[in-house]
Amino acid sequence: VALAMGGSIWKATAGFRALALDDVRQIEFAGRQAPLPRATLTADDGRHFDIRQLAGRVAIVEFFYTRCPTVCSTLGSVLATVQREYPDAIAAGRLQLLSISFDLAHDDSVAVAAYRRRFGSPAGWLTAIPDGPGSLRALQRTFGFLIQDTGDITVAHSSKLYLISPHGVIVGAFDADESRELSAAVHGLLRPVGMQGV
Amino acid sequence: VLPGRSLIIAPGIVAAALSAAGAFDNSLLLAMSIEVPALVLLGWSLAEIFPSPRCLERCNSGGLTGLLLAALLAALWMIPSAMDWVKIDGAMRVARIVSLIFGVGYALRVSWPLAGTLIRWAWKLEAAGMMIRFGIAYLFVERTLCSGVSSSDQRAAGIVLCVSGIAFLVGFNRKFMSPRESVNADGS
Repeated sequence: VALAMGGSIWKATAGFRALALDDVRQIEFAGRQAPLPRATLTADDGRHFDIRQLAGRVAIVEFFYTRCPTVCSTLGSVLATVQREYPDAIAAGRLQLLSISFDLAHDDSVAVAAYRRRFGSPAGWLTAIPDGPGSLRALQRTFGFLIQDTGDITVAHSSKLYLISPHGVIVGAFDADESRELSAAVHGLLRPVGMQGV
Repeated sequence: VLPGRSLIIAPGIVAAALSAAGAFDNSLLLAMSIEVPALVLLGWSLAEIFPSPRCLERCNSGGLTGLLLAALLAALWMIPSAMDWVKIDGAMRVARIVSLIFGVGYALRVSWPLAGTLIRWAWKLEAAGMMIRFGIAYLFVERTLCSGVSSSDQRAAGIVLCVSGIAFLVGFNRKFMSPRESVNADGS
């Protein structure tokens, strides 16, 4: 009993280092890489794809909803900054930005495409919607991000930027104010040779 | 016997149903002050109606296993990340409800009479300490620890836990100081 329960508490706190789920997942991603789940999405151009197809290039994934009045814009701005910092990698297909809307009830391909246009160039930046609640749940379980209806039009949700390695595993989660750390991590992943985009 | 118990069981069942529907997801205060106590009391009452089988008693010598399980499970479900995980995973939600009823409430009721005085004192101290520890964490961590929970709600839950822990500790100390309790070292 002590071992089983102690192990559960250890896991729930990432070894007594964090209390909030976002922080626990952040520590877990840094220490133990999590493979991308099987989840299909519809891109803003109507194309269906599996998120595991990100393998083969470095990717940054964020979750948002188009009606978001607060943190989503900040996350989008960070992605736009990364996009401007690595034009060559984007052009070579070695870096992919992916914004996934979790608002299945309100967002569609047109709405998410319009959302992306707020931040400028679409180069290397895809917006998408999960193909149904099953895909959304699979993404939630793997990324550990939360969506909480607060009763009004706003939705409380995790606000992380997830870094995906070319091996298709999540290797880090970054807050919006950690753009410098995110950029450095992207640089570290892009450096090795032989990672051409798929 | 049942009408008296139904006063505890009925709210417990309602709390379990509300918990399954996610009614306490956006409030740490309601979770700590209503949901958890109601589910634990439900388990406690069920143990009085359905006593534990003998095979379970054999691996619960001195009530130690049950009390340890209850303390650790209660601690686990007060950790914000575990509470948030419940919101993502339906199986975890079921596990939380079932374990608070049976792993904490039921286990506590069947283990308490088996435990000696020393184990009871240690458990009470740990329970009070756990409430105060989590209460302080909820109160003084600057950011919100659970998704969808406001900082004012988190602080209120912290105050409730700290006050409950201190009240529990004071009540325990009164008993500890009373000659009758200290004489009965056999746990009766």
